[in-house]
Amino acid sequence: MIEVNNLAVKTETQTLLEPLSFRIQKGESIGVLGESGAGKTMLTMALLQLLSSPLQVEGSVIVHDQHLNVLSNEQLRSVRGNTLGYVPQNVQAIFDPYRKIGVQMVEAIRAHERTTKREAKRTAMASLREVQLKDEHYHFFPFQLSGGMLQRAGIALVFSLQPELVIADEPTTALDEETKTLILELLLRKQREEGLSILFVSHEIDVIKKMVTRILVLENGKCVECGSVDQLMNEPSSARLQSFLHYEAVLRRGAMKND
Amino acid sequence: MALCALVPSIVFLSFVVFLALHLIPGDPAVAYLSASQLPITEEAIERVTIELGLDQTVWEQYASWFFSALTMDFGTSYMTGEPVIEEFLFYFPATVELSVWAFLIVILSVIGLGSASAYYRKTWVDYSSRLFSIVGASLPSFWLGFLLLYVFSMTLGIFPSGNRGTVAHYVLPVLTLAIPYIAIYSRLFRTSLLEVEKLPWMSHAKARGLSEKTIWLKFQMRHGVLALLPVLGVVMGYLLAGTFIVENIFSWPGVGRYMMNAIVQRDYPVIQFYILVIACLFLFINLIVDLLQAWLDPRQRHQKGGVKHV
Repeated sequence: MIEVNNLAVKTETQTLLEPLSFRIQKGESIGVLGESGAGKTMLTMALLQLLSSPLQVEGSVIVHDQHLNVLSNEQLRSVRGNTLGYVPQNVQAIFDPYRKIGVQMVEAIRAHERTTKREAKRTAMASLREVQLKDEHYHFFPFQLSGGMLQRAGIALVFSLQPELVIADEPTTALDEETKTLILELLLRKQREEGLSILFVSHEIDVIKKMVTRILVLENGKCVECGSVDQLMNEPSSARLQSFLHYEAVLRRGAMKND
Repeated sequence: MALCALVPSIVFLSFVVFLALHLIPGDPAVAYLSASQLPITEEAIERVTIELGLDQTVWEQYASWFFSALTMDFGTSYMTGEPVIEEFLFYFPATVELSVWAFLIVILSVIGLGSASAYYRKTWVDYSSRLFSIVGASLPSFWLGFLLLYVFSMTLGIFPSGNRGTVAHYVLPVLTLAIPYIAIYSRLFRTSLLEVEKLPWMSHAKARGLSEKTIWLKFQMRHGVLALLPVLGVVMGYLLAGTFIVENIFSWPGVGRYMMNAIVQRDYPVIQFYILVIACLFLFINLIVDLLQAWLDPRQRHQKGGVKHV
């Protein structure tokens, strides 16, 4: 459903993300692994066409035969959120602090679908229940929820728009274990039941292994390796992935003496 | 609650003003005689000194002023012999009218000009608004007043040069009063709009596909206007006090011009009362702004009593 060809991000003097190509089929999930500064967030922003000058985006992103690079703002708007859902790292920051959670959910739902307020409200509440929040949280202001609850509310907003592909940028990094499990399970269930595609960005190998079947490894804005999880875990060819796996193994044994 | 807190500030303020006026060189008794157009003789000065209680200590004088002030008696004007409060209330409506119109013009222009230059930033709209701001903020208002008077009244003859009356009489004084504030605060509003743009929920609003119009009106403008609110309160205060110069240029029959005469004639009771009233208005307007802001910001609105289930 999404096809990325030679996507690159440049400034006038340097290349921040080297040309990169991949595809994600319906119901497929792909992981992007890399450490801080490797260009993971840059990639997600480029996919959503959210970068602006002085950053230049080259190459093409094709969603359902539509080239996102050439779409008008209005066409792009209808793809964002609706087709491509975005779960940022600090998902609680997606809410405007001055307006109620439910109001912002309804606003987003009605931006994509011609529907009554009542209908949109029903969708929003169903979505809140999906992340184990209650109907009453619909009427809360963002600052009235705890951090973990707000993060779940953020996820609920993203899913209330019924995206076909979720671009999740380190969605679990700042979460407590309970919320983390809840969100990962939700993503997997949606994938299984509704054929959701997932682009999962993370630096945590064990989370990635659980979530996806294929991996892209980014290092300094360059894709150094890609392939299926099994293949890469067993015979990593790049130094980066080798050291990643090495440290992970070391940590798992709980001893640093092999280092 | 908040209103009660104002009382000590006002009392303290009245004392500071009283003291400050006493520190001004010159004998109030002489001032009284010249303001009342009486001959200034040794004998007359002595008589007036006792009459006005000037032979008492500052504390005694303040106490007697304070207790009569409690009964709404703020003394009588040296010039006219009329009660200060009555004269003040006679001139005050004209000043309020002028400042309220100027205030409305300031709000509308600041929001209009500020948002236009933020929306069309780095285009000719933005640059010309910047030019206007630099010019408008650097012109002293007495000069601006005379300039407008010269161009629109004396040369072109479009607007009358002074006094109250028809709508046309309002144009020049209101503009003179408003332009410096429009110049300063439209830039400020532009900056705060652009600041809002950098906040995380703005890009997330875009990422979930909200329309530009929604993002602009419901996210950016709302936060921009809320940030502008405390500033607007101060502006209203400044406008009320700032009619001083404008009223003199355009012969506007308000308290500003009344006050100017009082200063020239060293009419102490009038000066004391004017400063006190303006200061009280400042305090009062700030209080209203605080309350308004608390009411408009849900974070403050829900602070008391913990999490509220609406």
